[in-house]
Amino acid sequence: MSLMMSSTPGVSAFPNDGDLLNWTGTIVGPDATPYEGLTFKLSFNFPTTYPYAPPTVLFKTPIYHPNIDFSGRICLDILKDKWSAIYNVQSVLLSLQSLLGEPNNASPLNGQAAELWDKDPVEYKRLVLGRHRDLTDDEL
Amino acid sequence: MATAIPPQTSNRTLLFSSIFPSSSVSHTTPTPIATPILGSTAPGQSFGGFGPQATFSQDADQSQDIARDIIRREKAWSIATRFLSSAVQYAGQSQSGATRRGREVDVALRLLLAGAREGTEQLELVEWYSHEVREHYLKGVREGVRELWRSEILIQDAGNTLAETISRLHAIQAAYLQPLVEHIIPIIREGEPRQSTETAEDAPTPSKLTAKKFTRDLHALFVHSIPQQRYSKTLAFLLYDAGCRLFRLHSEKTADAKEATEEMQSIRKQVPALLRGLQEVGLGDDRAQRAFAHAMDKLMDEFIISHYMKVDWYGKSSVTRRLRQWVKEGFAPFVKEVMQALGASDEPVTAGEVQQWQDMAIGRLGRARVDNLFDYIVAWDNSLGAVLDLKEYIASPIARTQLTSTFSNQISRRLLHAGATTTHIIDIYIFVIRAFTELDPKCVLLDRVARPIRRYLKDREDTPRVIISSLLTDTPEDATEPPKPDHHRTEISLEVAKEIMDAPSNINADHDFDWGNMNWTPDPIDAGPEYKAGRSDDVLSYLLSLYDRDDFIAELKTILGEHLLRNDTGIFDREIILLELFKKRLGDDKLQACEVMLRDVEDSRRIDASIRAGRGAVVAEGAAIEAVAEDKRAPGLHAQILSSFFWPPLREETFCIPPEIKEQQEKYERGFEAIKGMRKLHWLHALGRVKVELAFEDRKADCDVATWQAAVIYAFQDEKGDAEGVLQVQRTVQQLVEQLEMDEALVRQALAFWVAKYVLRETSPGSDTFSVLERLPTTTQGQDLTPTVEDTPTVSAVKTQEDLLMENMGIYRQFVMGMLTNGGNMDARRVHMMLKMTVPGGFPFAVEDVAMLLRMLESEGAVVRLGEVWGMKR
Repeated sequence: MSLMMSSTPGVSAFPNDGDLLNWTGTIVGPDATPYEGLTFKLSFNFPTTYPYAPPTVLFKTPIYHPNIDFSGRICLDILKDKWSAIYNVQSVLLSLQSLLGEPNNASPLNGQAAELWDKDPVEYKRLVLGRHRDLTDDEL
Repeated sequence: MATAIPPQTSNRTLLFSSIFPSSSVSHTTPTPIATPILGSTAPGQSFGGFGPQATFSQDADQSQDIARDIIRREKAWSIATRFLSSAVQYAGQSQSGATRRGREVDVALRLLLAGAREGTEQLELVEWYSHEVREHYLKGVREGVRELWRSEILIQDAGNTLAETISRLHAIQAAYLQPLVEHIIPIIREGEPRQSTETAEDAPTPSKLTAKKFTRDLHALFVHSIPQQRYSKTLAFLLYDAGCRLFRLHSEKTADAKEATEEMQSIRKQVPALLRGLQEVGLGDDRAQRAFAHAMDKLMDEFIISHYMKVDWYGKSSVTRRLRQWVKEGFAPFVKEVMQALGASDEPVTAGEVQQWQDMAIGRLGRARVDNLFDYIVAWDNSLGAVLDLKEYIASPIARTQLTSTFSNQISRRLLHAGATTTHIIDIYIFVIRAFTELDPKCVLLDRVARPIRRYLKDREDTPRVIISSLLTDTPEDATEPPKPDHHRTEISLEVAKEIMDAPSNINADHDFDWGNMNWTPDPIDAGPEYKAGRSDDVLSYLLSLYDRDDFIAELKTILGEHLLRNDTGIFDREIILLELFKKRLGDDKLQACEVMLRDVEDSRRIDASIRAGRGAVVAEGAAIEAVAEDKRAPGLHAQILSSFFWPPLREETFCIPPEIKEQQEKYERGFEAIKGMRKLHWLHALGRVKVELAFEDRKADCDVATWQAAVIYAFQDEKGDAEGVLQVQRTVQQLVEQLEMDEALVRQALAFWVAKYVLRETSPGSDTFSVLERLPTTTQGQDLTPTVEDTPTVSAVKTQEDLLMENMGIYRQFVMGMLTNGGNMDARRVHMMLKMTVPGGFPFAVEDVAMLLRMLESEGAVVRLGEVWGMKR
């Protein structure tokens, strides 16, 4: 299991309280997207078969996004059938970061968001901000 | 009928009662002098108050005889009681209260006591007499006795009070007993059937029983008139005091021997006499015995803390033998004497009892010693005696537990705190090891008491350093002189240093498998099943087992490296000894690096010599004249060649070295490559030593300094060479930093060093500009220029932990940032724990270092402190 030693701006992750199978990750919303300046917490849960099976990744911070449902589940191919053992925490985080800017509106989990993404960016941004809420320490 | 019998009493009694018509007289006449008209009562009718008589009369027939008999009896009673009561009255007043009984009295008594055979009649009279005596005592005597005991008995009065009490009670008892003994007992005895002399002694005859009962009652009376508590205390003190004086517990100096023996003899006489007195008046027995037990208890305690039982600081031998002897020959006979006086059995003190007392005494001595055990340990090995005393004490598991728990308490209270230096703790630990191996060769106790010390020592960072540096120091011949702290400012534990000298040879001897060992003993009962019997009694093995081997070896490498680099004598005997020692204990393979280090320094001397020779040869081939000239001018260069792989990380500051040296280095390098084939030299500029010769206008100075210091002073020379001293060379700190490409801190240190040596001076305070002090200032000027830096902080050749922390700062920063970003706010302890767990290769620093790291991050603005916890800046 590779540790995140290099500092990639905008993403980071760390094991929870020494439990190496449960990590918390952080993504900063990419610039020039409705998520700009927001931070999102994620939970990583590694199966014992990792890296041959993908980790379970969930958004802990409430997010409004076409490919993420309201309980934080993510629809991303590399976390499902396209998983490969060469991916690591860092690459997953980077993929998710780019997913924020470029949602896959073809297979939405949140239909309204997929619709609004193209139609009404202002309303979309309003909904993103309305849903977003920074977690307190206790909720982590 | 009453008139028919004239009252016949002894003249004396009559006389007496006529003069003193006291109430007692009337009281003593339960039957009226003038007999009531008993005869006229109907047969079978009760007389009223006089039970026995009434019974008699009932039993009797109506016959006149019996009636007369009764009346006779009544009369006799009257006479007898009156006689006896007067005797009692006298008892208080005159010593010679012997009363003669007249004929009538005699007859009366005989009559009354004739019933002795039936066993009821005479008791009547004796009982009455007892009552009479009690009345008298309560009225007349008790107050006097009470008065004696009314207030607290002063210590100095104790003897007198007791004696007075005894004499009074004795007198009154004699007076009370006299009538009984003279008048009643003989008559009873007469009536007794003659018994064979053999059995007569012990058989309870009525007369004896009577006397016994009477005295018992009397004694009860006495006892109750004296306050119990006070009496016991006084007696106990008196006995205790006598014991103290008898055994001379308080007088240190042996006074005149004759006087002493006289005093002892007088005490030996006095005490039993006193006690016999007490016994006779009924104050002995249980109460006195209890008081005596108290006294002996205290006496034994007193003896234990007396000068006899002082720790033998000079002879270093145990005092238990003396204690046993005292118990056997002093204590036991004294107890015996006293007990005899108090009326206990006459049997001699049995060996079992003596043994018991001895054990008790040893136990007490042991506890007393245990209470001060820590002090004894500190004063080891003069306190050997005290420890030997304990040896007998710790025979029982309880004693052993008591010893270990008490001592552990003492240690944690007095030794294992922040105020004690590591050196001190190690010294004490060594003493503990020595003392406890003496105490318990199987080391079970040591194992227990040493655990907290070991745990504590492990927590101390500087423990291995102290141990190893101590091992490397030369032991001064006279240990009284404290060793000079070496430049690392490590305290040296002399004890450790001494240890290396007498390291035993048989380290691996296993006692349990040494079949020929005649001194084999089984493990003590309190040893756990897993307990490994003391491997060896040498202290070093304990010290070295404090840490994991690897920790120790790492530390050893660091310290040894430094030591070797500092050593320029070329003699490494001590280091070799040490290394061999460690090899034996820790295993050859682990110490490979250290061996390489040692060989490096030895080899480099040889290589150095051969390179220099070789270079000389090379130069000679080319241009001999030039070489000679050059050798004169150029500084000599020696190098130590170290195998970087095996050495601990070394300090590696780079700075520009003077060109002459650079040139030399290059030549040297070539020479080395010629010898060693493909190998490259990597110069560590900061580590060398330079002999500098400074020429001033008015003086010369020779210094042996570090390279970086030399480089700084060289920078001042440089320009001077050109300007030929016309202009004072001035350098600012900034200039020097740039010119030498050296760390500013190092530059400043070097400058401070030279200022302290009166070589440089700061042109004006705070200007950061320095110039050479060509002429020494006169004293008056010198005062305001007096350098403040006396003790320049020295730089160690080997990297310290702190340096390591700084070096890896970048990595740790990443971890901490990641942790705080994702894990939320944490306190330093948690951060430390996480770092320990997650950093690859381990995190060798303490919580304090983490806190420092966090503070640094805070000052960078990366994190913020929120009370106890740290968080990311948002």
